[in-house]
Amino acid sequence: MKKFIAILMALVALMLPGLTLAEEIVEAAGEAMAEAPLSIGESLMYMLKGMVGIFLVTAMIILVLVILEKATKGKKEE
Amino acid sequence: MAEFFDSLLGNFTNLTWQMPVMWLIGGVLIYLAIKKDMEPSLLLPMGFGAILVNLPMSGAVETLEVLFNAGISNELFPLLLFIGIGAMIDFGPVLNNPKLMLFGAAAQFGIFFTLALASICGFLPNDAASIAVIGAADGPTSIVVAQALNSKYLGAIMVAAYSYMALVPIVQPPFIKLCTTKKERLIRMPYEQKNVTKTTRILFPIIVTMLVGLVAPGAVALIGFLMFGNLLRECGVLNSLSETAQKVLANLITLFLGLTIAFRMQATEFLSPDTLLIMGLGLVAFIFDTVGGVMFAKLLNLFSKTKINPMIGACGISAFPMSSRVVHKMGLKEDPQNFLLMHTVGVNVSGQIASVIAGGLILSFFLK
Repeated sequence: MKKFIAILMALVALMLPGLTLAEEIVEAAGEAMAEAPLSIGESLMYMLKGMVGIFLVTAMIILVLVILEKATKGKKEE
Repeated sequence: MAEFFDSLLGNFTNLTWQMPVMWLIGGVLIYLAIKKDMEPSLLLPMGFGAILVNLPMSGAVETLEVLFNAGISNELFPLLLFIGIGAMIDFGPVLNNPKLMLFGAAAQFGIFFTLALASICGFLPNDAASIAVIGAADGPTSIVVAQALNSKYLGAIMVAAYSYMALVPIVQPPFIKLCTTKKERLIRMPYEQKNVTKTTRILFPIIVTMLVGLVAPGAVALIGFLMFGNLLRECGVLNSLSETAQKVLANLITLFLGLTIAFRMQATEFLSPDTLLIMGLGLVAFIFDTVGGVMFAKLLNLFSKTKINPMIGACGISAFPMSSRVVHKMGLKEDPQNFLLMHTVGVNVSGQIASVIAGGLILSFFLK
């Protein structure tokens, strides 16, 4: 379990700098893009944001579940 | 006499060539629902509705528009359906082994990949995002996102979403086999039953709603209604409400949903080259969801001492319980002693949460 979470955090840590850079590029291009299809760069940025976001939320849920289960099992044993 | 025949048969002159095409499409949906048992609760009303709205000067259009405004344009029907779905789900297998949720997350890759592909095909961001969510394999999420983003392709998106959900046994296996070796498909995964405490079962829906809501506020309605339904089930003190949600509410809303969606299946809106493209993109979303989940499992196997059967990664879509049964059967076919069902169910159930998170993230990105 700890290994999985460590791998996940490592993946997120590697992706975050790329995400920040991509966001800056998109902001520089301006807001007119709302009426035009996304460029490949923007699409890739959303892909990155989306996957990072999902994994982050999933990791948080897993963490909470592990803590919850340990806490409630501890009480049950008492 | 001429006037009599004119009043009787005059409406035939209002027929356009697109209308019989839509009758045929409606007929195909009805056939798939009845003969092939493919999502009949939705494909049958959608098919019949498609015929209703595509009769010349159809009086049903106004009635369906009332229903559409009452329940689809404000996203009410799919959200109420989610209460019923939440009440039906047993999160036990995923609470037993929380790391299975990672596969649910990985299997949403197809959504974001299809977002990029739909943009390359020229769809505007709101339409591309709505099309991409077909990959969530979740009808209510697809409706909520498409409606919230004001996509003009709601009808095509719905037909694609529900058709492909029913086609999981046909779409997934070839791509699972393509991404895995025989040796990998033979990996056995022993199941260890752990007792999940009642407190965990009760707190899980509450905590998930709060966590997801804080990260993706656009998802609060989706995840909240799903988890509310689950809380009704798990609390143990509202059994009658839970049963009502699972049966009466779910059936009632499903009845209205399928028929009402047909309002957006009028020929002028539905019959366009874009519809075919959307069907194709929806298929791509499903395929890359499958590939994403399987490849993630293979990636984890590089670092894990206890090997995971990578086929279970494909169950991370929301098509429950079909996807879990498909992969379990594939496992048995390779090795009759390899029982993957509890793992596949855990991943499949986590896919339901992950697909809602993905839908919420899409709304957060694109909703102005």
